[in-house]
Amino acid sequence: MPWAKGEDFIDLKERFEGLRIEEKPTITALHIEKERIIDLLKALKEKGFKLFLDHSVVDFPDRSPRFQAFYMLYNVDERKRVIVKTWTDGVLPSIEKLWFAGKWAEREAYDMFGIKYEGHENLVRAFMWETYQHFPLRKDFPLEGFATEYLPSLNEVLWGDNLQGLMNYDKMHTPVPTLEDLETTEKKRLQKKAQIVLNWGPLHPGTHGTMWFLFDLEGERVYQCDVILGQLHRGVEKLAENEMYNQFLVYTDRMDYLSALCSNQAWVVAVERLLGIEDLVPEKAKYIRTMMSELQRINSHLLWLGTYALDLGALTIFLYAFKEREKLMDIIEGITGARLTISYTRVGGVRMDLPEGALEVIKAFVKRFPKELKEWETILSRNRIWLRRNIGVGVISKEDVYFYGLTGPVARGSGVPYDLRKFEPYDAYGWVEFDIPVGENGDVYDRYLVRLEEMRQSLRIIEQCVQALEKMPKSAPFFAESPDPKKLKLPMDGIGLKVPEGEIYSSGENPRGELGFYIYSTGGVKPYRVKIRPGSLYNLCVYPKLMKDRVIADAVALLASLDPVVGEIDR
Amino acid sequence: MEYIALLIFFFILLGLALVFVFINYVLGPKSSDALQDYPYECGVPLYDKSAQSTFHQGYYLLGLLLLLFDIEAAFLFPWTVVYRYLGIFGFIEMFLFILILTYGLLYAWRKGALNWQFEEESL
Amino acid sequence: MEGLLAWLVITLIKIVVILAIVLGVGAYLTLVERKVAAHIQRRPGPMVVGWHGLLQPLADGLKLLTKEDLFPRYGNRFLYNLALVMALVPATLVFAVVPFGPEFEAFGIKVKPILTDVNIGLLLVFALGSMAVFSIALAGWASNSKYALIGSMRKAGIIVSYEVVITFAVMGPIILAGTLSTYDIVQNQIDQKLWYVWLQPIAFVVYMFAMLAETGRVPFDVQEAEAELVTGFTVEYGGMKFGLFPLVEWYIEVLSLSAIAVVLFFGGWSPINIPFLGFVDPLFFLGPLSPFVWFVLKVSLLFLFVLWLHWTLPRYRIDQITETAWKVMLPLTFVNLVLTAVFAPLIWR
Repeated sequence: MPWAKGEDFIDLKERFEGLRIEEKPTITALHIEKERIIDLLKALKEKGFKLFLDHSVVDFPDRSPRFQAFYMLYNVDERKRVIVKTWTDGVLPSIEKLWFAGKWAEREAYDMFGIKYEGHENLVRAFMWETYQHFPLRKDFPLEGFATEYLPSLNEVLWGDNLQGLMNYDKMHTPVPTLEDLETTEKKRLQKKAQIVLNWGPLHPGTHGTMWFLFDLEGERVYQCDVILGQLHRGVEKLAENEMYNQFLVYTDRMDYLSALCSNQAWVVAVERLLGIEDLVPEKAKYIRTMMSELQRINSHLLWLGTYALDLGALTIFLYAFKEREKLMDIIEGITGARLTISYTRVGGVRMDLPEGALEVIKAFVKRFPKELKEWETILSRNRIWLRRNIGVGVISKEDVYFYGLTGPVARGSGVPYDLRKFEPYDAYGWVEFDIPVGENGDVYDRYLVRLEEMRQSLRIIEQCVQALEKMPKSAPFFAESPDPKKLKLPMDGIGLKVPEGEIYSSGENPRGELGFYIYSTGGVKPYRVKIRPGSLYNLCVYPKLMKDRVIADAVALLASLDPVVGEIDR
Repeated sequence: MEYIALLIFFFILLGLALVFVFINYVLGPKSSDALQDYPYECGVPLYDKSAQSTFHQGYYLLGLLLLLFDIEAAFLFPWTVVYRYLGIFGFIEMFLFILILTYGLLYAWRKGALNWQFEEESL
Repeated sequence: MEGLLAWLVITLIKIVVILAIVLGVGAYLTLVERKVAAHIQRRPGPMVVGWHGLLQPLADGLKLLTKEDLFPRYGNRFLYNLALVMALVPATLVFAVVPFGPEFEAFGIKVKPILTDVNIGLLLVFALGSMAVFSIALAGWASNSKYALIGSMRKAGIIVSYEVVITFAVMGPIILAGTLSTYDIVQNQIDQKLWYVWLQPIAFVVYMFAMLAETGRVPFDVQEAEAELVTGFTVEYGGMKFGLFPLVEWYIEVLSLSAIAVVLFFGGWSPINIPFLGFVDPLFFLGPLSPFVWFVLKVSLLFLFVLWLHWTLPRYRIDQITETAWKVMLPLTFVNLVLTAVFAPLIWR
């Protein structure tokens, strides 16, 4: 397990009185009072825990102080992770000086729980609009919301009160923002300093989804930039608290909808680890999951390549990439029955065995795909225009990777070899051979090359998985069997799956960064709190910094090189 | 005579362009929606109501250079047409002229006037 | 009196022909572009409306004609419409000096297939060409949209740079021909048994660059740049007004500048040239139609070349475009000018 050990913190224990080290197989936590939290985090940062992963709070309405805050840090050199915890009643010191990514995490905690941060530069709501009154993730927020607005749907307008059964909704709805609310939000987010403030998004083809950027422009140069998120906010974390473990699986599809299989895998691995049944999952299921995830990674990178080229004006690559992607989608559809929101994995294995001929199709794809890849590289990689648009644009240094909490290809493009498939192998990743491509300069071009090479490495993994699967007998199990059904029920549909008390942070390597799940379970069939660490969100938080003093034409290149997906950012 | 043909063509085109300007008004449907004439800016409230304000441009020095070079081009055009009859004298004359032009271009280059002017302070 | 009437009739016929070519062919070039793009991208393109989508431009036109006429809030209505007029008129007016073929005789009257053979034809072309920037600048300003404004400003930046380049680039062929009349330039090439592209490769390459830049084709399509500016300066235009801008910029201007390129560098209506020896005409069986076919063929090839680039390359950034113009293209044209002046006497003989 990649958790730091208690002995790593002996020197800290001397410096910080009252520091309590909690060591469990699923987690290593440092407990400290909130007055000294900043000092402790600083000390940890100096100790090598430089990469900021996540921060949020868990709400315990019956306790006092009410909120337990946690900070997740990673030591990339020694491959150790640690959690720092503290209790608060609603006020915390801000860590934005230590990690910029903390600034965004704090905004989110403020938005969802109403935690105030002292010393935060501009504490605004992360997802909701500024005039919204409530804090949705608090446990006392009613599931049906506060129905205060008269907002009949189109059906209700057309049919009046004649709607039958389930269609007959309440006409009162939770509030939605008006134009004035949005204007307040916008003005609070960014103070105009230059000539013109341009709304770039939410309905804009270059933003790859509904993101709302504000560019304060001096001519075409961006003087300052900020992002307003939340157009796709669905409260996935709140949903997670009210769904069973397997029911929540379908929501992981809808977060990063371009890499559903990877998100599925990350979630079930997290639950399996919490249950302690990681070793019970049959080998076949592990190979299948790994293979499918890698197919999905290629799929996702193809979409990235296509849209990236499209953004820079190379319209044809877009269709070339989508043609290959379509074949991949067909393969995935043939195996799982779905193309976009897949939900193929289950806690304990996969939903069904591979169909007849699946491996042959995949083999054919693996054989042909490198040729296509090579062709695109001839069109793009050495193209003068492409080079001039990419090289030296949006340079992210190694320190920035840690400071902004970047993961995935963005971190690797800057030369940080942070890849969970190697650092914390889950499923079959420990049994297959592959390399991690890293960049040198950390510019847009390096990230482009890293992603291209990742596709090749994915092919390698798929090849090895196919070989392993071919050797297995047809009758090999693809779903785990519970050693003691009385203690632990492991049904395919997940009904009755009880998870013991405990907590875990487990993450998977998604195509666009680390997707982590912090699960806090108080026992029973539903988790008490699930904090999702979205790779896209933290990757995006470097964007305002990269955009400073660049022109609008670079905005698309930079954004596409970070490759965010709004479904995952907003959740 | 030749220019009259041009003039006729011009007026015909003008009429055609006016047809294009008004044809949608005549043929198209008319609806009324409070926000239908809202300027496109991704469908969110406008930070600045009007886009017609000061807007820094990166090429204002290039604009000045364009004036200079275009005037010089105007000198060169007659020369190109009659160069055939000027002989060696015409060549030397214009060679010097182009040399001076090149020098002017190099000067502007050295001064950074050919670069995109991102900031006004940079000069 | 009768002579004047005949002249008027001929002129009107010529105008009708040119308009038919410009608007009809221009509209059908949209289909050509879509088909070419589709086949570059390994897909069939429009297939539903008519045989292989042959009626697609008509359907598009009909759709554009029946759109609602909208005008952006806080905009300037007069300039908004003026931009449209200023886009269409100068761009089409250029065709007045494009020679489509050699002089021929019909019903006893000698007809030059050029609307008006003025002796400053080329000057007229470039004077009218630079009017395009006004239309785009006005469109961007009058729309009162920031995207439109940025797009139009970018375009102005490009024109500012490539206007100079294109004027200096065409000086080489003019020296060789010794005239500004488009008809005479072609005639001189035929007399000298030489396409000027053989002696002016630099000028030709620079001219092509400038042509792509002035017409806003990839890799210089920064004023539209869908991914950044949606569609740039046309963002607030709707219906036929919206349809007209791409028609003018992408088709009519490309067509006219290709035609001028053919006139300047490829000997207009002349068949394939072997330098200093003569012309080979594989299309001799067409008789008197052959020159016209050659002209159309050359223009189409240039147009297809532009399409090919458009659907293959990524796009430059605006500052890179202007820097290329001033730091690479312009010095090249100077060199070319001097070189031409040196060896031109050998050509005249």
